[in-house]
Amino acid sequence: MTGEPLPPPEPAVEADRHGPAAATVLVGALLVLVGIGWLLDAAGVGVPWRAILPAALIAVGLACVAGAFRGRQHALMAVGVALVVVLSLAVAADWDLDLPLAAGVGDRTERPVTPADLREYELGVGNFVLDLRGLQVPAGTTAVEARVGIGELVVQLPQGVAVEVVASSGVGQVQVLGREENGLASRIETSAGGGDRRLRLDARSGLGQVRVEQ
Amino acid sequence: MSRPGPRRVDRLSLVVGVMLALAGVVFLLDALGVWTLRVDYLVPLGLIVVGLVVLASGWPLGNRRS
Repeated sequence: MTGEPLPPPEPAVEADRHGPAAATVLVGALLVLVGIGWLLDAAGVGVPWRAILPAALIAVGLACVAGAFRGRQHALMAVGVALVVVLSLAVAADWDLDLPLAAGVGDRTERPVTPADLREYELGVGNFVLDLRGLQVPAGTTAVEARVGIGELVVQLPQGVAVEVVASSGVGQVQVLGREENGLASRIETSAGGGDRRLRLDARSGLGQVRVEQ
Repeated sequence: MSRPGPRRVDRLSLVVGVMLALAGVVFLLDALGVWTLRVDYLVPLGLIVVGLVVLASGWPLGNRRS
C-alpha cells in the first residue's frame, strides 16, 4: 500500500533574533535602573520617580516603534501598558511619587510645641498623628505640611487661632471640622476662627483617611 | 529561489509605541508641572487612545509592492 508522498515540510521561519533581543535588553535595563533607584531611595537619596517613570515610558514607546520594523513587540507593549497603569493610578490617587519610601513605615505621633519644632512631616506607610493642640502659634501665618503615602493622617488643631485647612486623599475619606468627602481624589478646603494668629495646614494622604479635628 | 520581500511593519507595535511615547510625554509634563492632569481627564483620554489604536491598527495600508 502506497500513500501519496507527503509534501516537503515548509522551511521554518527564521526567528528574528534582533527584535526580541533588543526588547529584552531594554526591559532588563529598566529593571536594573528601577532597582538602583529603589536602592538609592531606601538609602535616603531623593529619587525623582515622577519624572523617571514617564521618561521610561517614552523610552519603551520609542523602542516599540523601532522594534515594529522587526516584528511584534509583546514584551515592550506589556511593560508600556503596565507603566501607563501605574502612572494613571498615581495621577488618579494624587499619589506623590516623590514621597521617599524611606519616609518610614509604622505608626507615629508628633507633638510640636514651638514653631521651631515644626518641620515637613512625612510618613510612607502607616498611621500618623500630628497633635498641634499644644503648639504656640505666633502672630502671623504659620504653615504646616503633613503627608502620608498609604495610611491614616490625623491632625489635631489648636484652639483660639484662625485655621486654613487644605486636606486631600487620593483614594479614601477626608474629614475636616465636621465636613466629609469620600471616594477618589477627595479634597476639602475650609477655614475657621479669626485673629492675627493663623495656622495654615496642608494635609494629604495618597491612599487612606485624612482627619482634621479641633 | 525567490528573494524575500520588503519587511512589513507590525502596525500594532508601531501604533502602541507611538501612543506609549505620547502618554510618557503627557505624564512627564504633568510631573514637571507644565500642566496638571486631572482624574476626570484620564478616562476620556484613555478612551481616545484606545479608539485611535483600534482605528490605526484596522486602517488598510496601501499596496506598496511593485
